[in-house]
Amino acid sequence: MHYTWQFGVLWEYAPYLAKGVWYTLKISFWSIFWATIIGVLLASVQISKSKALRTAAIVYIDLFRTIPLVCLLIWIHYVLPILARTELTPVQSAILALSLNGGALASEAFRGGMEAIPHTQKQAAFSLGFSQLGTLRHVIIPQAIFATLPPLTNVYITTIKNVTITMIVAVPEVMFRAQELMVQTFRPLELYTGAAIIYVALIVVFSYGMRLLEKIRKWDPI
Amino acid sequence: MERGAVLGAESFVTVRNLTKKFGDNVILENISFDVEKGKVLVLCGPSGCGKSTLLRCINGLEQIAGGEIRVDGDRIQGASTGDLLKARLKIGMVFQSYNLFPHMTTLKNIILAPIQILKQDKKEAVENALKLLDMVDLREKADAYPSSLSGGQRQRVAIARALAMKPQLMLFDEPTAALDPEMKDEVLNVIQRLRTEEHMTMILVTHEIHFVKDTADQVMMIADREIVETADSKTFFENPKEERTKQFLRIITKE
Repeated sequence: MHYTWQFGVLWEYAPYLAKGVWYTLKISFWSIFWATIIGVLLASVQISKSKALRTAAIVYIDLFRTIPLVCLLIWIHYVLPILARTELTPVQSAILALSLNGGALASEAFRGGMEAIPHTQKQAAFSLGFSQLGTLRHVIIPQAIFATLPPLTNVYITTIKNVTITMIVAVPEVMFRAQELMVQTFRPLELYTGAAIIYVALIVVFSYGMRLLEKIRKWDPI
Repeated sequence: MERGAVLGAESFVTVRNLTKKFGDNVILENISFDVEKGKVLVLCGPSGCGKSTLLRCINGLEQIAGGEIRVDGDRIQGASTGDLLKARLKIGMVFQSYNLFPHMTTLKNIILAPIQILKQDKKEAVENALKLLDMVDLREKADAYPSSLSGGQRQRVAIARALAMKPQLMLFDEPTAALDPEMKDEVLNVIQRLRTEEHMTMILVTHEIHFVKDTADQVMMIADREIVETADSKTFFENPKEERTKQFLRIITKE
């Protein structure tokens, strides 16, 4: 192959691409934030006694983890505004779609974490006089947080990667800008490789942070 | 004497016509007995006979299908959540698998409930916990996490944790079943001292015959959903009446 790589093009347009990173970070942050809140709520509802609430949670989860993200995003950006007679910016649509999708995935991670705590822990807490809520607060959640971190990291990484999809509603994140520049410079290999490297770098740093969080745990499970 | 019923003037635990089902499966049927204050009752029987389930019914961890359970006069079955939580404060429980909280040090395991439930201040709770750790001979492990303790040590911490709530009744569910012989003795000695020094009312599920002979006031044999025989421990081991009991004793003494 006689292709001459010219990564100089990346340096030349670095400030422009960096602005894309800002969008990626902003959308990732808010999507992860809302996905976490939705996830905790859904997981708590799923272990509650009310059957109606449990069913609602299951319907939500099955709905939002089965709709392909591209369909969801396009529906939110182009259909929802017509139905709701409102307007959504591309960034708002992106955060909404990624939060709804991420929330469904995160809730399963939280539920898995809570279910990983043996039933005998609950019995021990009850026998000491703790109520259901006290047991959750002092015994189950402090342990479940750590059991939840590895699967939750996967959910968050998926969310960050899915920010690339938001280019289809013209969110000017890294991938979108790489494509824009490619049209002008005819350097697809360098620009797409560069975009990939930027995402990989972001996610490597993020996963490293999550691993540090896992290490806060001073105790070992028994 | 009525089979199974130990009638006493000062009954601390009263069980009347208890029936326990899992789905349609009847586990225990028409169980009645009493435990007087300061006495030790041991439940024996083949595995799966429902003796551990019976123990969990007594502090309301299991719902019963019929009958009545009272501990110090408090109803356990059908009690409101609040009343059950109050009644449980009089009852300590120790499990076969210790069930310590792995995310807390030994000391925190012991002081958590006194601080959160009994609203003791921290200083008082810690003082009391250290006394209990002295009693189970584990003071030097106060800051250790459960994962670094041996099975026998974990079980002794679990006993200290239950005692920190100052219960009047202790339930032991096969406390030594998962332990090596040496560690069994560590734990059994602590339980023995609870009897001789504290005159604690206790109900135990255990197969440690020598221990039962020395410690139990009454031994109750459960098989096929009901009480087969209840006797003082000397009579139970030396002169059992029922064929089912004799058969059971032959099997466990062979071990």
